[in-house]
Amino acid sequence: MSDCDWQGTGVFGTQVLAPGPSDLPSTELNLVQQDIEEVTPTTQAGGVFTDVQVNTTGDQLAVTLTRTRRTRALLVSVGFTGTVTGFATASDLAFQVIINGSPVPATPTDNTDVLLVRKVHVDLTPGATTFQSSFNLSMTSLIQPEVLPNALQLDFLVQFSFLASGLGGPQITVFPREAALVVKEIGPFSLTT
Amino acid sequence: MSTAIAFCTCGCQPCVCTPPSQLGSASCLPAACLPRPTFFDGQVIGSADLNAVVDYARNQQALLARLLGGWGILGGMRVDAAPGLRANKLGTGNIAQLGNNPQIIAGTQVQVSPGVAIDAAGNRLVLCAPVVLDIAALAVQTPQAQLTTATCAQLLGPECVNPTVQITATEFFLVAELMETPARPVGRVNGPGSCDPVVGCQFSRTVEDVRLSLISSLADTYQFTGCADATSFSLPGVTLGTAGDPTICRDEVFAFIDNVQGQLASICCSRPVVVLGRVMLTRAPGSLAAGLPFAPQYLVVSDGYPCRKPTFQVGWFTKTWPNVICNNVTSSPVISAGSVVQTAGDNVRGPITITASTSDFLTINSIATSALSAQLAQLRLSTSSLRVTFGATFTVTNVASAQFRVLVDGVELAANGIPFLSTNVDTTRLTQVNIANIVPPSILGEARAHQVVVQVSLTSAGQLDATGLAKPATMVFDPSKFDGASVVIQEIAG
Repeated sequence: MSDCDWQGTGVFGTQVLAPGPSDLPSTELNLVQQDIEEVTPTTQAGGVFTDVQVNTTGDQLAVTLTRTRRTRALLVSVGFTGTVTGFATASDLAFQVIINGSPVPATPTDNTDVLLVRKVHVDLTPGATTFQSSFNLSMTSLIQPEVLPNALQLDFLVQFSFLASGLGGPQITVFPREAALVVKEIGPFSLTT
Repeated sequence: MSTAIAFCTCGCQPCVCTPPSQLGSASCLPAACLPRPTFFDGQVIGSADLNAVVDYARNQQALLARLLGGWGILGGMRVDAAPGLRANKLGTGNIAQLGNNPQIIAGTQVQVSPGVAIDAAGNRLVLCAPVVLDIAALAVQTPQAQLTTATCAQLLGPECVNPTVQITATEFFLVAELMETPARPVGRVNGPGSCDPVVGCQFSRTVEDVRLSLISSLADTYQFTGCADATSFSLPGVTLGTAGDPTICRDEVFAFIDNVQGQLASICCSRPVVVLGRVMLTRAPGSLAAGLPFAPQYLVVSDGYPCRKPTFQVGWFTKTWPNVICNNVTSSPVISAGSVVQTAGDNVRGPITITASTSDFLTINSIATSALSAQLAQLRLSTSSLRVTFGATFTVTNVASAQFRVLVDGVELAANGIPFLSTNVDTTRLTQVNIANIVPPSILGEARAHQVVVQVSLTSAGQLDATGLAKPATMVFDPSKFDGASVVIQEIAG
């Protein structure tokens, strides 16, 4: 910064000359969120990732964030529960959040490892002691700007895929949940934002 | 304050001279300690007595102006593109709506609008009409300026709408300072009557004007002292806000203010100036100049805070500010306890394998040998809580159960022996873990820029390898196979 940037002296970056705690604005900006509105079954389309739906009219679990800066991190939270049906064996069930149609790379140069992914194990094997037909997905992750698409408008979409092959027509049913997908722009630690 | 003029020719007719201009005088506390002139009947009064009256009044006024109201811009004196020149706004958000700067101008001329400022010596700087300046011409008089290459964000800060655009420019500060010019020369008579012989010529007025010029750098303490040059001022090297006792904390702040104001009252400022803005002269502005006509040279202009230091009008301040403060304190839902003050986080960014032959806690890495870790950028406020969230899915081999814990500043936090940020997972049934809790300030203790790391302890399922030896217990986080892990910490205002 310039010579006249007196904040660089450090003193005013500390707390006392800032307002008291109750006067501080939140640094969570531009919140967008989507509910799961009703009990919604979705059948996986082939062996590929399929969009999670939030109602029986087919709306996706998706949000669009128009951020104010391309330099800021985003806080992404996904949380909902559900059950699986339509097969009779064990499988891993993978979830991912894609942004503008693509998975989020772990680093700007890495397309192999991705962020905003989770996997849960389900087992519909008849009589199995490990029988597990329900799942709980909970994920909160801070995504740094360098791995986000170079665009102000970002479209977030939650998808699922059963990883075992030959399941036929596996299906998930998600349950109603407020704020099942939440995205926030994280602003700077500032008294003026 | 009369000026003897040896080079003026003067007779009985009006004098004709070219008066020399000079910059305003330096400010120093002893200079303000003038005796107050007093008069009595029958006193012979000379120019020294009359000038003492003027000097005394000016000094008193200047002293109050610089120490009570503070130096800075009272209003106006904005730096903008000269009439007829096209410019692109570079700022975003409210700043772009409230003013033209920062902007890039296709050309080298700017216009400074009328306005008033007070310099650090307490002098009023009054610009009664707009002034057009050619920055390129002024730059020739500032040869010590350096050419620098930097991104738009580095030059203009976070408001730059195209932060990564690189430009090479020469940076200057456009400053206003008092310039005094003697005026109205009159003949000096030698005797008591107007018909006595004229023996000389002297100026009978001093015109106070504003000189606008460029300087290439400012002293580090300029924002405090208002001096272009270095002074004896030194900002106390203390850290405020760390005292746990609010009374001590308050006393520290007042001691700090006393110290700073005491120095400002007594320092000597050799060149008081008021910065109106930063101007950068460039020939290659890159995409910043998109849509503008070609020009041999362009200007990047920024007359916003912090370079431009406004001094609030007391009337405006007292009318408006209490409402802002009181609305926020009493009823605003926007600024309230529970606000997220700061956020930090980390993710597993490559395959991570934990191999354990004992049940010792092992740190989970994010990639290679770097720990999965999150640290607040600033000190936590002493009344704030810390929200901690850790979540992961994983694959295990020969693991019966796993104990996860999140350490804050290397410590496992607990109350009455119950850990705050710990959970046990039966890995024969579950392949996921979630820890989420809010840690109150009473548990966090001293306010710090807290850092968290995540550890896991694996309990073997007791499997043996082909040779009959115990197999190691392993846990794998592999984001390429949808086993991700992330930790997030947030400071929540109390």
